[in-house]
Amino acid sequence: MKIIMKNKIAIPGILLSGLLLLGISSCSKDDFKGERPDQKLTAALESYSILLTEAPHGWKAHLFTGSVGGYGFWFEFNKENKVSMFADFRTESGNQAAQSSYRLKATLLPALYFDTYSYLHELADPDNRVNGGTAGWGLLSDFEFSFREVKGDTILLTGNLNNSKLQLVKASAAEKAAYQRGNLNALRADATRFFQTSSFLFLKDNANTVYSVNMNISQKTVAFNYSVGQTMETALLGFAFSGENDLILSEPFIKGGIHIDRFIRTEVAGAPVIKAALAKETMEIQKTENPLFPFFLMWGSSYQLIRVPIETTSQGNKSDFDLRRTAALTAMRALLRAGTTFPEMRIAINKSEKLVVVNQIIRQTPYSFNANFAFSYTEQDNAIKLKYEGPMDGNSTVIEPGFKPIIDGLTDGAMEFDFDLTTPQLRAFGQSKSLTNFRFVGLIN
Amino acid sequence: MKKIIKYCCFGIALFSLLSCNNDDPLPETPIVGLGGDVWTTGPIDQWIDKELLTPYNIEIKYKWDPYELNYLRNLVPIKEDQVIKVINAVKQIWLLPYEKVAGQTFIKTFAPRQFVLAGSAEYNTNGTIVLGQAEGGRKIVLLRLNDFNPANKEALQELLHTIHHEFAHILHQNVLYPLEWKFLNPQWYTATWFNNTDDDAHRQGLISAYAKSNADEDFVETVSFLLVFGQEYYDNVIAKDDVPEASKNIFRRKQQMIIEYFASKYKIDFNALQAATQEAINNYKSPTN
Repeated sequence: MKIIMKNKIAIPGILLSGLLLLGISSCSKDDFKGERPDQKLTAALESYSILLTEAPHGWKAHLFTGSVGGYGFWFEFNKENKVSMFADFRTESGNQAAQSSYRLKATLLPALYFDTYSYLHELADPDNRVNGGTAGWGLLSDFEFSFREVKGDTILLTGNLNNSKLQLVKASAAEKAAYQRGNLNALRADATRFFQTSSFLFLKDNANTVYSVNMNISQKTVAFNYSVGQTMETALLGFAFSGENDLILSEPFIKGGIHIDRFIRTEVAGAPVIKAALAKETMEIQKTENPLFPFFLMWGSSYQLIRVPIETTSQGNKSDFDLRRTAALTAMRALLRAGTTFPEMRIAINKSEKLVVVNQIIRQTPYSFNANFAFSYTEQDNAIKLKYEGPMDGNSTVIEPGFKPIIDGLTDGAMEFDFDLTTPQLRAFGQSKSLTNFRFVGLIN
Repeated sequence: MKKIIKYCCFGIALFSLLSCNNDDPLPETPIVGLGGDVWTTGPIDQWIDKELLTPYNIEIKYKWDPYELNYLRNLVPIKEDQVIKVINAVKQIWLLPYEKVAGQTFIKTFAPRQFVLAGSAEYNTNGTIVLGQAEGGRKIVLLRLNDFNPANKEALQELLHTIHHEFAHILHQNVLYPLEWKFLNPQWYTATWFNNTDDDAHRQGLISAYAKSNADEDFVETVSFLLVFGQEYYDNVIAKDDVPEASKNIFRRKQQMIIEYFASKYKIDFNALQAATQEAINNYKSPTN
């Protein structure tokens, strides 16, 4: 009973002290002296607006998307919410400035919206006919970016939907002039000439470790391969054409004695040459005629596809493959409307899924269609044994009966894949272990 | 003792309430973004003002705003040179025929207050794409406009099909169509409508595969097909050899119900509306700028 009584007193006691506390604290008249968050945001938006519009020669922009590829732009923002841009992925985008609109918006962070369509949006377009990416997502790129950091002449931003990284660097007068005379196209053409060679390119550090360099100019990626003990490792980075001579990497490549953040175009004896570089300090890209690593190790990382002509034979093909090729051609033509052609099959490998996908291109001018056939594989002493799993889409279902001779050839015995070094272009062959004359050769990219 | 505590409590409560009285003035600086985004207006904005905002109080939102769309999906904004092409077609082929047949009051009452434009379609995970959306009778979202070419009649019909479809949603969201509609062919409504072709749908008495998704979509698809593709198209579907007699009757009944619905609920002569829409499509001239 006593205990209960105590409780009865205790409750008003707590209430009382609570109310006292409330009374005291609610009387506090210490006004908030700082700036309101929305005022801070307004000030931030204004300062970014001034920063963007008052760069006298516009901005070099490097965008690194979720699909690894890097893309170079030049932006010039004016005070009327318009932005002019060049982009490094098409001839037109490299020599014709396009104008669209932008605005700064207060979202979670101050954000830059490119709010009507321009070159930049082609990368993000969910219609994959525009950019060759994934339907619904394109190349996992962005056109709404949040400001992250301003460092000297550089602004770092992050994409709001796909987290792509955008780097803006103030351009110089000379750089602006270069962009305006179509230098992005010239730079791309020089890089294409330099990297599309049958030789194998590599960097070598002071410890004589070799790092192969494989550029994919259309996908805007560069792969570095190097041995670690018995295994081969690959670093896959994006790159963006930039300014007068630069190919900026998505992040620096630092391994062993190598530390580079870009490639640079220079001139040697009047001819353009590409070198690796850390800022202005350059490093020679060396060449050899001998493969640095077996093709199979680099297939699926440095090299994506073997492109085997189907309408014509190719140097190095053997008789059994050509017989099957012509038989398949006749049969496939009979299945589709007159005038349809079958220019090439593209062979790709997915090593994590242990899948080989053969994509037969179907051409009905002006459209091209893909017909994908799936094969699983097991590795057998330097070769792979393919097992046909079936058509992957409607197109391949339709042409499957016609394509059968080639499927049978591929699955007869184990297939060996390696470099073919007989022509100036970089090519690879596939050779059946059981059918001596089932051999095809195609360009690599 | 208890009384004292009670009075104390009361006193303190009163004191704490009063002590909160604060005469600080409200902040004078406006809140960021209140009143919408601003930008320097250009010829497109002026055209929209003149053609739609001032006469009809319809806002056209063509600049990217993720919060007006499905912000979890990847869409892209419209190209500036497409905006007037699209909006002019909307005005000529959707708004003016309704205004002509139903009158200004009708349009000012029921027209959506806002059109939101985007350049690409919205891609669903099931492989379908979304071309438009109507929300709460207030807003219509039009998608995949970057490909729109008004010189191509099919493209014109596709765009206008979307708008008439979405606007019919607004009409039935205000006054529902007769319940009988829902029981004409309920067995064919399915969430996996996209596994059907239009031909499959026609045999079942539905005007398109999408009309199979539910009764609401069926109603607005039928309205939109009748207006945009015309009576001839509708009659040709009914006349198809593989459409059974029962389905032919459903098609005829549906058209009859639509005519009655428009007449009784909105005092609109549906046949006149159909004729006006067809005339607008067939004589459509895109602005030259």
